[in-house]
Amino acid sequence: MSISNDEVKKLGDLSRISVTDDQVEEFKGDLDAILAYVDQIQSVDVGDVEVEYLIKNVVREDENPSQPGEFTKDILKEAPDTQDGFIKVNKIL
Amino acid sequence: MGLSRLIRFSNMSIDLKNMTIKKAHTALSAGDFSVRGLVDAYLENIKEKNEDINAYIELFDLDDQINEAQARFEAGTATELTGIPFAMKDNILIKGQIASAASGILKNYTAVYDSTVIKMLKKEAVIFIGRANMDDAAMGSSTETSVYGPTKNPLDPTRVPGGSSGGSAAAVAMNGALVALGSDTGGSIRQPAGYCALVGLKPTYGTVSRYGLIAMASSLDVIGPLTKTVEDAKIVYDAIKGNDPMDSTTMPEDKISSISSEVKKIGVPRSFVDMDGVDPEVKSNFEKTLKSLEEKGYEIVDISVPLIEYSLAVYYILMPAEASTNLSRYDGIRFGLSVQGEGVDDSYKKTRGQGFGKEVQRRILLGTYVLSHGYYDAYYNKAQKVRAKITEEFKKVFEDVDVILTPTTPAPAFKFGEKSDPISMYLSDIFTVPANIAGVPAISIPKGVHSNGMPLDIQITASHFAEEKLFSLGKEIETL
Repeated sequence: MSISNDEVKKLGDLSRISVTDDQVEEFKGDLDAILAYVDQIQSVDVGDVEVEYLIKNVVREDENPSQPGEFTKDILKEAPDTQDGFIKVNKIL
Repeated sequence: MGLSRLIRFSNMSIDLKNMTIKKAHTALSAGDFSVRGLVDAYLENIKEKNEDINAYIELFDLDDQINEAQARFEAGTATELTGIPFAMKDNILIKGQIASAASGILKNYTAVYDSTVIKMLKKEAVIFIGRANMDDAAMGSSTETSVYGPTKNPLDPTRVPGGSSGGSAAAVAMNGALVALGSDTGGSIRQPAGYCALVGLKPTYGTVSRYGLIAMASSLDVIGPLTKTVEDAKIVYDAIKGNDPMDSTTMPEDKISSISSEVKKIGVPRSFVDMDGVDPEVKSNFEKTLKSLEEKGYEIVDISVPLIEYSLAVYYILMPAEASTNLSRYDGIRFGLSVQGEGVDDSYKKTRGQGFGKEVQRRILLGTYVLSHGYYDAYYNKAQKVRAKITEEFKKVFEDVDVILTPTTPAPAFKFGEKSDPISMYLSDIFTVPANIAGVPAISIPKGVHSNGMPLDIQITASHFAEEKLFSLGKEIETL
């Protein structure tokens, strides 16, 4: 099974990565080779194996909250663009 | 002048090549040398070698750390790790320091909190020397994908140090730190340890907190030590293991390392070890080690783990799937690189197009593919099922044998640019990936030398929580 150029572009769109036309060819070749390799798992008979998910409640009690603003300054310092204690984003609508 | 010459003289007399945590601790306790003397000795090596080797991408301010450690010795409150110089992989957060995962997307990111392992080590007043280079976002097996340029193997600078924890391995191998922390998703601690003649431990999944580790594939990632001896790996592991309320995947305290250290029966997955593509000298070195162990009284048996050979294929579905999800957090809005485009969507695309290196993009695209509608069942779901089967096989094998022995790497460290296609690069992790798939612990022990002069290695794998078996047999292999 081979991936098409359009599919590579679509994957770029889905994962929000700009992919140039030159890169499309290269990624296509790489992805084809990797998929051909990993396709070997198709031949494994997994029978009725169940994938176990350990589900347990790990949520702590809602107590001792951190003080409002305790981490705000440090965190906002990492944001590329801020104003009045908010993170600024591009206009969406 | 007189004093500085004296200090210089005392540095020269510290034998870093054969240094261990215990030796350093004894000497620091006895006052044979000071914490500053020890650190300066490592710094001298770094000054001499790092420009060429590129193990460190930044050195931290050390004065306060040195003073704090020395004060502990004077107050009699020093622990075994106090004053011990550590190299830290660049994906482990230290509050106030840059942690970039050697990626363009995080190049100027300053950590706003301490990872749990750092918190634990700070309690012991270890010395964090600096940030160790790594592959871009921990994706690679050679440290060639780092945004800071490749790290060279100190044992032969024309060769790679392995990866992704290549900077951590090179830092210890060039005597630029006594020990290092790395992270291992598919072999990223053990393979560079093997390439640089070090001990590298990948602990049981869930025994060391991932809180503050920049995430790659969350069901596979684990932090562990790279050291010169098995004893040192054990000391560092004991210091960083433990249940952590900040990481819900850590195990209860009573389970961690709860299995006895006794090793009698060693299993060898014959068809796996004998497969094509493994260097003949790797095979003969492995057989020689088996023979020595047999002479020491260990029982060696062939075991069958038929699905183990599918581990790498499973890995290259699940790891990119998880990575593509984890790395969706890099949006150029909250932290990290931000490239403005025309509108929101274009800004995302430009930021991620420029910030991620080629290997990272490749894996995100692949992960997006295997998770996309129409392919999810054939790839992601199927891989999850094969993973469950492989884990079952491991559990069954460990009912019969105490440990599994293989080489760590199918061939010694390769030369720069030698593996240009992704698959041949990925195959260097063929022996290390199964432990991550099954979540079991594994250790790489340096053993033997290839005719090209590069070190060879042996990997021991044990059942969940049986790190003590790795240490006891590892010490035995060290002395063979």
